[in-house]
Amino acid sequence: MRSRSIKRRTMLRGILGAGAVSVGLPLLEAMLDSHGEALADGSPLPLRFGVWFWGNGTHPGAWAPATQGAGWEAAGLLAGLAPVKDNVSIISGGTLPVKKAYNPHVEGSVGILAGGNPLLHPSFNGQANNWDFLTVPSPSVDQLAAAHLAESTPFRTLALGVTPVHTSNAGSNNAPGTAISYISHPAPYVFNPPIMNPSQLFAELFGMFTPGEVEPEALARSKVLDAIREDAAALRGRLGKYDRTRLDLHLEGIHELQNRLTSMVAGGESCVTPLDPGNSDSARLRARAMAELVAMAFACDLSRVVSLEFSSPASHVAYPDIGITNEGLGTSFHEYEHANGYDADVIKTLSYFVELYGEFVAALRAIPEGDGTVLDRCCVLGTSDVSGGWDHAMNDFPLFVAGGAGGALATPGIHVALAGGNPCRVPLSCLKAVGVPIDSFGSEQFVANQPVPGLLL
Amino acid sequence: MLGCYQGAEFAGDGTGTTGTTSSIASTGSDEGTDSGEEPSETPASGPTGLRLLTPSQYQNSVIDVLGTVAVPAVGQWRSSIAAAQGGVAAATVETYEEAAMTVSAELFASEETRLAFAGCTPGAVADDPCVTEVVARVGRRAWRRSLATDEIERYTDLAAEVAGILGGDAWGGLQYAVAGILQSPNFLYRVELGTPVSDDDPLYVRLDDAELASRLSYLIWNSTPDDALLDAVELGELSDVDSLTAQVDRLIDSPRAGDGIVQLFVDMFDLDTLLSLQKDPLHLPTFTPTIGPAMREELVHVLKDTLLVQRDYRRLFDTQGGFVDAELAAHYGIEGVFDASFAPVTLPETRGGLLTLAGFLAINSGEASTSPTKRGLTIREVLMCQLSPPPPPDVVPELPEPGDEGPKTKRELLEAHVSDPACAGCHAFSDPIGLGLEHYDALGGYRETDQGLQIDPSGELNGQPFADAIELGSLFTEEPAVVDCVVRNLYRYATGHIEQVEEQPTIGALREGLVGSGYDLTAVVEVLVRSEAFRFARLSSEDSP
Repeated sequence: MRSRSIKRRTMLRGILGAGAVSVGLPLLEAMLDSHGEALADGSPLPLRFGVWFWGNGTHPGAWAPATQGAGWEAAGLLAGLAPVKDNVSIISGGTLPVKKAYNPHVEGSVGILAGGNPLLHPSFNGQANNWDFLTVPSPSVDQLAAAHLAESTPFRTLALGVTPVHTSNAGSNNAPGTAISYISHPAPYVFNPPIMNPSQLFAELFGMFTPGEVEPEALARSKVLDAIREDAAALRGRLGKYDRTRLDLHLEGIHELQNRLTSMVAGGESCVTPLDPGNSDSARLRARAMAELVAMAFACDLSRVVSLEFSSPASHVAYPDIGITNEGLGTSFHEYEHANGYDADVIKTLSYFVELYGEFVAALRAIPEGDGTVLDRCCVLGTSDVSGGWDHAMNDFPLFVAGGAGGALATPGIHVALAGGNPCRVPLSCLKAVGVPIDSFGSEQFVANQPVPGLLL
Repeated sequence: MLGCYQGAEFAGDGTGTTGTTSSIASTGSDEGTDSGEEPSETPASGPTGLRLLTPSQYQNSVIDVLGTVAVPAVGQWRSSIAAAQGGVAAATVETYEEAAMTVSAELFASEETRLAFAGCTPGAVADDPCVTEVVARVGRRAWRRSLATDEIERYTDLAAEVAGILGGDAWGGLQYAVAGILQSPNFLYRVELGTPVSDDDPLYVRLDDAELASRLSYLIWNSTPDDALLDAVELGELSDVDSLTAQVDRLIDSPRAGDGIVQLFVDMFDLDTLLSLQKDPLHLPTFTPTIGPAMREELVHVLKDTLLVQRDYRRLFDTQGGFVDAELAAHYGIEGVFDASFAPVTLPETRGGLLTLAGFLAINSGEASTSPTKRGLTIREVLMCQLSPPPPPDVVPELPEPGDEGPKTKRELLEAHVSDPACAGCHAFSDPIGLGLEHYDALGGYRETDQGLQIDPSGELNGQPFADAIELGSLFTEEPAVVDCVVRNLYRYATGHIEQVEEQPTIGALREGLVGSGYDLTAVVEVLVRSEAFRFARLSSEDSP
């Protein structure tokens, strides 16, 4: 129980009141646990879970380190992980057991993140684009983590995106599919729309707390939501099973909003209001800004779960940060890779994805917490939709695990080769590492019962 | 490994093995429905339940309830079908809350607007008569039915409680109550639950009169029912099919008609993508951020002109009437003085009908170059309801090797691949139609040549030859699949689901209605509203409480 909570609004008002809003403001004394090993309210530092996802995979058979165990070499496609290699474990060699019945990018992302076969909407009666009708069969891994970790934090999940999703068609063209575009799913056909703009993320996380007496209005808004819950309860009894589920999801959103309006939240020692990072044209800078905001949201205990899609499944975007443009390639990177395989431009791009994952991990490590950093209490899964974008390969599936998960994960990081085994053991391991009480992850041929050997301490 | 070139901008790499190559267009001997009668022995209606408002429905409805306010764009599902089936995530719930707070704050911001809206001065106590009156009135329009006593009390109590929290601010209390009415699931979802027709078959339901009124109003006006329609519900008039028909006529004759009918096509063609159209300015230097919205506006004008003024669906494919502002006039090469408003014009000889209008062409193109495959697929799937065969298993779509032979037209590029039998099935389905539109670039601009090469826009549609896009449009005016497809889309739009086999007779009746009326889509709306399928629903066992 939190015995010494202070209202989050008070906390941030305190910070803002101390002067201009900037990074590195003096810590507000009242908010600190004297040893820095707990939140200001005395409750223990929480564990956190993250997914960092990119589309179009890596180079199967060529990306993994040469040696197993600790001391793996951050070279080749993994060179970008060098700055954080002690904090990252590599799990190679797994083969994702997709059925090859639908679009492979969807099968892969749904397989690794929801541990199942995509669900095809019943209204699909043979239309060409099956991917516009596919969704997850069950909540995605970040949502399983949120169910356990989120408690009454104001943001149950931070769903973020960096580059435009593969298609904006979800919900249009009579197509109810969600899994070609989005990776965070509380339920089939329901996705958490990603925030794409770091400035907007900043505003969502830190912007609604302004100096002055806003308390009565927040309370009034919460009273309005109470009335709506009564409306919903009356309606719910008249609904069938399917609509009841839809309404329940809606109510979960109302519940989260009420948490945000009224909950008592206390950040840790490093919690300060950051600067609005703006919205850069560069995907790398947007990804970096989001990483820093997520790190601070974790430090302030505004959220404990993040799902970030750098690029969506089957992404067709360009990467001008590294000179990969549609003009230069003559087509999209996606199509270029299909046509050319793993040439120098493709390898450069695949290396860039890994490097950005490394930057995300580094941002979490940059914020001190207790006797370590925020990263020490995280498990951040890094993965993709296929192992190889050239031919939609599913062998040697790329999987990274970063963080210490409060001492549950091997440190320094290790490399484990699964030799064709089920890569869903990795999300299972990450969930177990942050204390989610489950024995298995996934359904049908994806079921994983055992964590990755050596990964959990 | 096979290589199929799917067009430079084709975003597909499906390895689907489901689906068939046959068209779903039915040519069977459908029988008509028993319009206006009690349900037939084989109930032929589809599922229903909670239908989330689409963003445009939300916007229109809020304005109808509150009057003119600036409504933020909110909602998760743009299409009618997806909105009837998809759910909303927490982030969307939050946008509903913000939007409701914003619009009610705007309405209550000045003494003048809030007095005009309320028509009385509220008190900060429970059971205040002014608050009760406003809640009942606003609630009826917003929830599309009269509120029960306990529902009115819930919101009058809320108003009094909030007034107290805000220090005795009665107007503030009412403002929050109004914001609450607009966040309630009773507003955000169109509730279509119906009542079982008999105890023997609890899954077969008749829509209640209020639910029917709502279906009707969103179909024709894309918004909440007006007071006259709600009054008719309360007088029990909608149970009578002729009275129902009279309401259809009233709604169609209103200047607001067309918003719903046009929205059907906005859905079908995903016209809202034009609002944020992106093109590559290197290849298409005339692209501006304003040209996409202008193209959308033109298409809406053309749809209203052909469907509601000319009242002949065939004209959509061969009309010479365009609507342009100054930017589109320049884009089309039309001389004259134009400004920001959309003026009716006669299109140049190189254009005629939907398939040659810039918006349609631009949506179905890549950012830099055209995609005959994509254009052809959209026409087949959206306008003809025909499904492309799935690509062969394990095909990787590969671009042709950049050759040394110099530039090639899209036709030359695609023909190389159609010669591969594994690819031919797909491409023969889409490409000949798409290649007929090659005279229009990725922004819909007219061009005589592609990379300096002559364009050959000839082809054939189902064995009938066409010389160019104009002739292709003419063929569409006589194409049975086009007729069949539009009534299917109307049916799906109205009922929120894709028709099942049992519903084919209704589709047949709608098709006959369209042909019999000289292709007047508004006449088909009347046939639809009178049909059993519109007024009844068969719940799936999952939909049953």
